[in-house]
Amino acid sequence: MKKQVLLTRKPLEPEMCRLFVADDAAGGQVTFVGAVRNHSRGKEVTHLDYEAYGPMAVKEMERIADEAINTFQLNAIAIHHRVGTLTTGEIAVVVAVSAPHRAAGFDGCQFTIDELKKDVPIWKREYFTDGAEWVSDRP
Amino acid sequence: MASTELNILCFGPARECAGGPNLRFQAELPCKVGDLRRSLLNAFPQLGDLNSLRIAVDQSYSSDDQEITGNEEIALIMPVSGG
Repeated sequence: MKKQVLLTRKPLEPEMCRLFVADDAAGGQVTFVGAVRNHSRGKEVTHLDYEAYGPMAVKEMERIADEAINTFQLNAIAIHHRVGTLTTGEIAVVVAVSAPHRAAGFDGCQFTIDELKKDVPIWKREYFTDGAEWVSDRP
Repeated sequence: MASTELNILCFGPARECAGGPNLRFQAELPCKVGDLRRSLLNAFPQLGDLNSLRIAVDQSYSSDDQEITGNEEIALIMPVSGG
């Protein structure tokens, strides 16, 4: 099982993830890049803070990576997530997978980012021109 | 049964609701995760409700019937918003 999980304060590099999953037996490589949007609920976002329960976040990302590999028969997977302060346009998350064919690659990548958003203990706080709030404050 | 002060880790929105990263909370041990969730929500309604507040035990999500003896690493997990 070829997997790589990273939680870091440093800028993310999608190409590093793609190169990690590249495999001569894999004809499909799919990379999802999640970036900071400049607006939320009609308001301008200036920047975000990401805070993680670090050790558990890494464990959850590893669990999801294993499940994605087993479910979609992936050749490899890389999940990188950034924490700390990010400005708009910066990359918050990268998921790269490789698979023999593209369908499994697309499905495996989508599954991974969806599961990450449900279960990995990371929280974002949005900063607007007139205040800030945790995103899970939302009803 | 003994009343013991648990140290509960809080992150992100839970850290704000609890007033800091370490919540000291008195509990009768051993107890079930479900009882602890209900006690915490009674004391801190701002943490959400039984549908949204999860508790991690030793860095894994727990079920309500899991037992807490006091030797575990316990953390509050409000709805996450990574990605």
